Amino acid sequence: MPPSPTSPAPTHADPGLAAPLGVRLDGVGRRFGDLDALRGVSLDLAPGRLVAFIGPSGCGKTTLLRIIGGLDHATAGRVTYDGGPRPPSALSFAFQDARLLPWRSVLRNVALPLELAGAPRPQREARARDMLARVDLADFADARPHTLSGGMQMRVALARALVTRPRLLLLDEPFGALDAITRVDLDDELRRLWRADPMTVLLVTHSISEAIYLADRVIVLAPRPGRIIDDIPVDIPHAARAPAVRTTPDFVQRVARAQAALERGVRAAAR
Amino acid sequence: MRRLLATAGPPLLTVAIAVGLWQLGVTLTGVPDYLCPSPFEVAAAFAERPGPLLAATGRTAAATLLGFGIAALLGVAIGTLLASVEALRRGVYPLTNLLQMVPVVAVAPLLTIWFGYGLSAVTASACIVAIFPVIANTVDGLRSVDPHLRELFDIYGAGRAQRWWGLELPAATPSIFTGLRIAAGLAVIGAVVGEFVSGFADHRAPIGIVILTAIREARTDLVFAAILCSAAVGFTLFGLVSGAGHLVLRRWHPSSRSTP
Amino acid sequence: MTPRSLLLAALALALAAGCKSKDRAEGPDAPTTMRLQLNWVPEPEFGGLYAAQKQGLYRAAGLEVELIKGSAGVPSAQLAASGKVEFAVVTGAEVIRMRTRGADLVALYAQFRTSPRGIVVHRDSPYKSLEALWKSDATVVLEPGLPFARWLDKQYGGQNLERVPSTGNLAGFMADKGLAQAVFVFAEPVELERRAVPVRILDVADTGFNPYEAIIVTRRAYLEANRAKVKAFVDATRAGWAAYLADPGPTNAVMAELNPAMSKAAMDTSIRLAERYIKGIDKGPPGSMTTARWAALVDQLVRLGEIEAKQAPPPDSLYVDL
Repeated sequence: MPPSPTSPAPTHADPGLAAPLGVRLDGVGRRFGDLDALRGVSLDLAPGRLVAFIGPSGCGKTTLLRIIGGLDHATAGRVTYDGGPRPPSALSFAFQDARLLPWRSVLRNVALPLELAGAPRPQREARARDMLARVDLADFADARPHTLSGGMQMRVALARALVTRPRLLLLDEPFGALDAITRVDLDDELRRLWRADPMTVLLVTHSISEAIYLADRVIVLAPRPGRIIDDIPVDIPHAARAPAVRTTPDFVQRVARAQAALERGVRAAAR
Repeated sequence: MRRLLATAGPPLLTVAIAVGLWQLGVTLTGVPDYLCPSPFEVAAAFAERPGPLLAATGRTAAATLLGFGIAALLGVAIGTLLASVEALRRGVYPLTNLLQMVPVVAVAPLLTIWFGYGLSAVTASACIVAIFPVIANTVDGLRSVDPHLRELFDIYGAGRAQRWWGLELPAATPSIFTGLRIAAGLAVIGAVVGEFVSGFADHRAPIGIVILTAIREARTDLVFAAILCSAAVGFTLFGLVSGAGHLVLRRWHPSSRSTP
Repeated sequence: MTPRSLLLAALALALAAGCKSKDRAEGPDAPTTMRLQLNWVPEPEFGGLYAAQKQGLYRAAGLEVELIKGSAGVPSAQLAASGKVEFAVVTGAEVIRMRTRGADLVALYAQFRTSPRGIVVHRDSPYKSLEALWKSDATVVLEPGLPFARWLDKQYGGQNLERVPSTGNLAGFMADKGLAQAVFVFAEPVELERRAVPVRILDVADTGFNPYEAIIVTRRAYLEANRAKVKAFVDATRAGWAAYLADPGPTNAVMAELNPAMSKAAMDTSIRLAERYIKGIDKGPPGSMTTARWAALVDQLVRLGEIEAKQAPPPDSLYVDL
């Protein structure tokens, strides 16, 4: 496979190639038959930021993420990436379910995206080992996924998503199925990984608290039709965000604003 | 060793009880051996001329193994094709059901005409009987691959071959092994029935011919001994396939995980 | 193959054996209904039996005889030995074999007193005798386990002969000019001629192996308990054969109904060929047997290793002349 700017960087310390990707949505809509899942969504998502999407179920937040990720297509409007089309192999995904291949070792699961991109075995396994160390799972490289706890499986999935050094990481309720304590741990882990590697992260969640805890910006969506109802900047410095931040007035105030926006959206849909 | 005993113990005990009841039944009713021989008489029939019987078993085993091997490779290939090509799956897959309804006894004379006598025709008979469960289980296995995992491969731009080797084949492996285990037992039946019609009835006689001869000679004890020989072939093949399946699947599949 | 199915099979066998021991025929009220198990489908080799039944000869003797169609591999000797049927059609070798295994079968009526067994080859085949054929490397289609093949082996070797099992159909023979096939000389060759396949028939009886064939047997216990009725059956059967040979047409029509694989016309031709094998070389009334012929067969089976000399039954105990 010929080297190209978008193929995975050969080593971990190679900053130039992994510049975060900015995304722009212009009047994006998605219809499923008679159902307007999304209507007129326009957003400018700056590169290198962590943006959270929240909203009640049916608001189209997952659909929006899938359209940005190329797993679904918009029926109206368009999406551009740094002003152009979606660059190949610049994106990674993680989902609510870890989606690990049960027959592969943890290491080979993490190495999968590199393998599919044609990276030679020594290189991809070195990268996967490195990634596993960064999610504190170095000792589990040879384990099978089913022997790991749910939280550990999710960290493997994160490691797999990050192993390609994506310029844009799309997370669809990645910790939604985990218990509260594990979830907070993984939130911190995610932030650490994001701060270490420059990339744009789009996070879909149904937890207001998680969204504000992690994101630079929280987009609130309302259902029927799915649309943006609020756009909340979160300017609390990331260095200051520790579990205790959740009780500060800044934090509480933003939670209240998001809550109010959500309720407004639901009321509007009910009418 | 203890695990082996734990696995093999209960069925061995069942066999021991069955053989005991069989001997008891024959002894108590005094049924003559040309109607139903006792286990002792069956063993004696085997011991009388073990050489030819074992040689016949070997010939049947060869055809069984070949037929099974071809059914396995061809079955997985056909199953893959049917699962991958929507038009074929709709148009052809229902017809492959007919394969399992083919009375192989009726087809066996045709196999002789097409393949000649001996190994090829018998192998073909074993293959025809064994291939359906392989096809069906391959199709089922491939079609029930988790769509979420398929999506994962979409995201990372997997090619057709990568998708097949990296996802579909391993995901379908438990199902394919289920098909192979069924096929292992069926292959012997197909081989013996094929031999009834296509086996050599001379010094190269396989088990099917030994059975025919023994029936004609009213040697019911020998019929039983020969049946047990062919059952041993099926049982061995079944064991090998199960063992291979266990080796392949034990690291990850629930069916093969040892219970604590 | 699973242990469970083995267990089931064992239970089933035990039950079957249990049923068998209740022997209906041995009771004091022996039924006048008699069942006769044939060892092949209705064809001229059973013509006398169908004639006796159709023309009411059995009924006139106070008997209700049910003729049960056979097929390839039907264990008619075992069925008779177990008492599942009163009479069965078996081969001479089967009578002796079953006797050595403890069954008390006894021959009542030999329908063929010259063995009609033979081998057909295509008419332009280089093999003009069984000896020449048996010393060649040709392929012979024959049912495995028949003693005449061992006899020919003993006489002529046969080590290079390729043998394949018979399925009772002639398609393989017609398709392959090099093939030889074991037949009843009055049956299959007729079909082959009808299909314009010229053949040469090689008689096994000519090589010195000439057992009685298509023999009607019963159990000695049944015979002792029902001697008069069995005699009536044998007499009616003999009368049936006489009637059949005098005018085979009507009976052939009946049998052709029962066996769609063989036409009435083919049966009409067949019975003319069969006649000399039915009459045989011996004197005495049709169907009757001699100690000398049985002794010769016992002796041949011993020499072929089919039975052990010390097991050999006395030849005069193998048949009765009622």
